[in-house]
Amino acid sequence: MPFLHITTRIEGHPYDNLLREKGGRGFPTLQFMDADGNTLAVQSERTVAGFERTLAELTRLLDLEKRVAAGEKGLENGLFLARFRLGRISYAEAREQAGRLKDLTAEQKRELAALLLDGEVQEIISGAGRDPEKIAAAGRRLKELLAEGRMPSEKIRPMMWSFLLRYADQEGDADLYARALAWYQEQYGDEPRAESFLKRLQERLKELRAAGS
Amino acid sequence: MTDHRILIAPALAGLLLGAGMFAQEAKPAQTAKPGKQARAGVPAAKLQAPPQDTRTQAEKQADYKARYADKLKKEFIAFGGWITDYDEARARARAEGKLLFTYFTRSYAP
Repeated sequence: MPFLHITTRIEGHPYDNLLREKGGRGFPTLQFMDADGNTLAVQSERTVAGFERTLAELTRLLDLEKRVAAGEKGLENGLFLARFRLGRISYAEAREQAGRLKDLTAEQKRELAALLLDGEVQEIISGAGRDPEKIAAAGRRLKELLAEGRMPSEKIRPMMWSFLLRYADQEGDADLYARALAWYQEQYGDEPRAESFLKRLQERLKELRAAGS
Repeated sequence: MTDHRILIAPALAGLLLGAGMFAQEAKPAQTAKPGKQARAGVPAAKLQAPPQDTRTQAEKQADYKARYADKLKKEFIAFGGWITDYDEARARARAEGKLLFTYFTRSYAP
């Protein structure tokens, strides 16, 4: 059921603070809620694919919760992963609890490692804020992860490359800027609306190359 | 699940087309604070402080109401079949046994 909430700042407008009440902090925010208005999942990607992925993950979690409530056993690891995937368990909590999980399958181990990496990347970026020194430290850490071949999931990559673009710009790191630009071109190269955006990035890359030569 | 996809995917696609996605993506090169320069020696774009709002409260409220009315006329709202009343949305979700997919936006600013 599609519900559009508009924050108006009109005095007396019903539910004008709903976004804040639901933990949202910016526009746009996309959330799945139950019929009581409880937040079930936050969709971080503003794409149809992101919508479908979040809905599939939420559907899976709701199914697992229903089966566990009905008394079915052996679903603990799957439930943990489903909750972590949807942000119901924080990265810090997951990191702390992960070691206590028993009898993870190989696939579950891979998924847990991938989710923890996503959580680490998000933590690195969110901890950087706007402080150039913190951005530099976070950027260096992300570069290390890339050098180790540790790439977060597609869900996190837009955030990571956006951050690395900013970091590379700040640090004058033309090679990293080019790598970020290549990612943007791969993602949006066929999108006419992205043409001017990509052109600006290409021009900035030339400036960085010229400044570094 | 199929029901949700049928309802939401076109609505979301409409939002993405109308939401200026790449205008927002264009920010990274302009994040340096005013007066500072990028370390590569290329001046960052100068950011100007927003002008002070000298309007009265009544004038602001009238503006907010006008902006809200304009927002409701946006094509993507009608295109997606969005419910804009929270009580109605919850009541319909409950009656039809469905989840709510909520898009939070604003009308008081672009």
